[in-house]
Amino acid sequence: MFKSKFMENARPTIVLGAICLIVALLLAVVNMFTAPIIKEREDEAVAESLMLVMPDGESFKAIENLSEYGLPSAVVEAYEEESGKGYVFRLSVTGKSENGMVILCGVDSEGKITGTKIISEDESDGYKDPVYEVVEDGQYYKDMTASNLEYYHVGGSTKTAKAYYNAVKAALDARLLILGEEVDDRTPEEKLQDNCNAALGTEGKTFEAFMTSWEALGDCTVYASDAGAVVKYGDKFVGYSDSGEAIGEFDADTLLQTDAAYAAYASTEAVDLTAYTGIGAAVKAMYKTSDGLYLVRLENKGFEYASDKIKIELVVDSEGVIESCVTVAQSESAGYGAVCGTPEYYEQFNGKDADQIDGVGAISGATATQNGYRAAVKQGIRAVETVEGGSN
Amino acid sequence: MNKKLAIILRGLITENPVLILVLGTCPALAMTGRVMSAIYMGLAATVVLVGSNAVISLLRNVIPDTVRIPCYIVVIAAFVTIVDMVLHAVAPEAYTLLGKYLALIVVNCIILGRAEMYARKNNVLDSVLDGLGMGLGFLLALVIMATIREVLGYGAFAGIEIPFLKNFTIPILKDAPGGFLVFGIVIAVMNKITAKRGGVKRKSFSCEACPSAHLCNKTSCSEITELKKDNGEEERA
Repeated sequence: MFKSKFMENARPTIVLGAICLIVALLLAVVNMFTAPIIKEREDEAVAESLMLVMPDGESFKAIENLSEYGLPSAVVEAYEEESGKGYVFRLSVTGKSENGMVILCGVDSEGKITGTKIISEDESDGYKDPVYEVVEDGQYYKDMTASNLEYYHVGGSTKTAKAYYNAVKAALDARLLILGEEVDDRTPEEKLQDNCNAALGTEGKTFEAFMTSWEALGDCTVYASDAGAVVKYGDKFVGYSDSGEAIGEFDADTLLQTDAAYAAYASTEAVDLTAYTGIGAAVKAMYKTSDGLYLVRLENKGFEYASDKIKIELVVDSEGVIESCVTVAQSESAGYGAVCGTPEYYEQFNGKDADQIDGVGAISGATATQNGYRAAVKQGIRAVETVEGGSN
Repeated sequence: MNKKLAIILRGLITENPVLILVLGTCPALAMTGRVMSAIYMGLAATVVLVGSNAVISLLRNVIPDTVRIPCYIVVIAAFVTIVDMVLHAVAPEAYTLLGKYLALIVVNCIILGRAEMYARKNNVLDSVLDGLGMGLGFLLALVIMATIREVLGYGAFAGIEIPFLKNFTIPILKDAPGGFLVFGIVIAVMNKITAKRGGVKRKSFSCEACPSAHLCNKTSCSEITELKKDNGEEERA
């Protein structure tokens, strides 16, 4: 009786337990057959997505134990291309939206970016477009390395642009860390200053870019300090002595470019603005070239809430007519004032004198930007007229 | 033979689980935006129904009453998991389309309902045929709704664009409100058709299967129906 009572109570548990056991075994058998197929499909899908940023890649292997390498926190996953072509990193960064951006970035065996691709993002429409057009569609960072990585700045979309840059930098640093090499933690500005000081053999000197848009400099950028000038061509920094000789050994092509740029720079004469009255506050620097042109650097406030001033470079002839007007930096509102950073906008000022400025450069929906821009350009022309007129 | 065929046809038409019995409405609304989603869901549910009915019928004399529901759930979940793994391996497109609704088949009331109402009381063959009929009825209902929604909502059928409808779509049919609307209309039409044929014969459910049996004073649910008749309330067709 006890036995039958016990069986009566235990039977449900035994039956349920037996069914669960049989089901578990059955599922294990099915899993045994389906798991390899599913894994193969997933690996194919992963490889397909990784090949978006490394088209030469064939098969990829996930790198385990990422924490051992001390990789940047932005790196979520890392894959090594099995034939040694490089690495692909999956990076998570925060832009304007709190939801963040996930970006794939490929780095080849020489440390060059092979491609970047946004996997997911929630950035604001309109703000993200000017960034994506260049860095994503235009693959701006392609072929850059850790040593020549340059941040693509977009006024009004700074957070998005910065996030993308941080992701790319993290990928480049991650590759170095995986290979056991040292990472350069300096900011782009610090690297620039260090490179200039190294080129000139100085220490602690501050270098400032000289008229980056001036055509006479060609593809070079001149950085000037009180200790001398350094000319950057590509990723090479060539310092010049007072006698105009390049310091250090460089290839002929580089010297051809940098010598010409240095000669153009050296032929200019800085204008002492303090010697003149009535020079507008927007005029920050002025130089006179050997052929009588004036190079004017301007800065002026546009939109009230822009993070920085609009920076403009003018080339003006002695008659006060603009030969070239270029916006070198702006932080105006994307989709509105930011248009002042486009060639279609600033080229309108070419060939104009001070009286004609109000007839060009209108920006619908961005009056403050438009007015700030026009005021700066006018001040630049008036400053040239003042200097030419010799008023002091 | 006719009796076996009748078992299948019952689930397909006269006791269609979605349109007549109004069961499994969650996937019926969620998976009828597109015809292909509806087909995949209907087929997956049919496989689970047939399999679970077969196994539960096979074990009907083994499973004690006190643990029958947990046992049914385990069996149904097993079949759903098998379908999940197989689809993931061999038909990733279907797997992606079904998404989270594949796992939700476990709690589809059609499946547990048929297990409880039919499979535990009938032999394996009849249970399989019942599962097949109910599954195909579920599939049919989903495809009807999906056809209406996709053709009129997207101007396409099974992903193939219908040129002359492309610019004349009814966008609300793509979303949940449109789904409810179509569902209601199709049920109304089915009720009209079945009413003409004499209506659906309501079965009186025994107290044995009723979860409220231990609280209820009545001897059977038919007694309640009689009470309503006495009070002048119309008996439902």
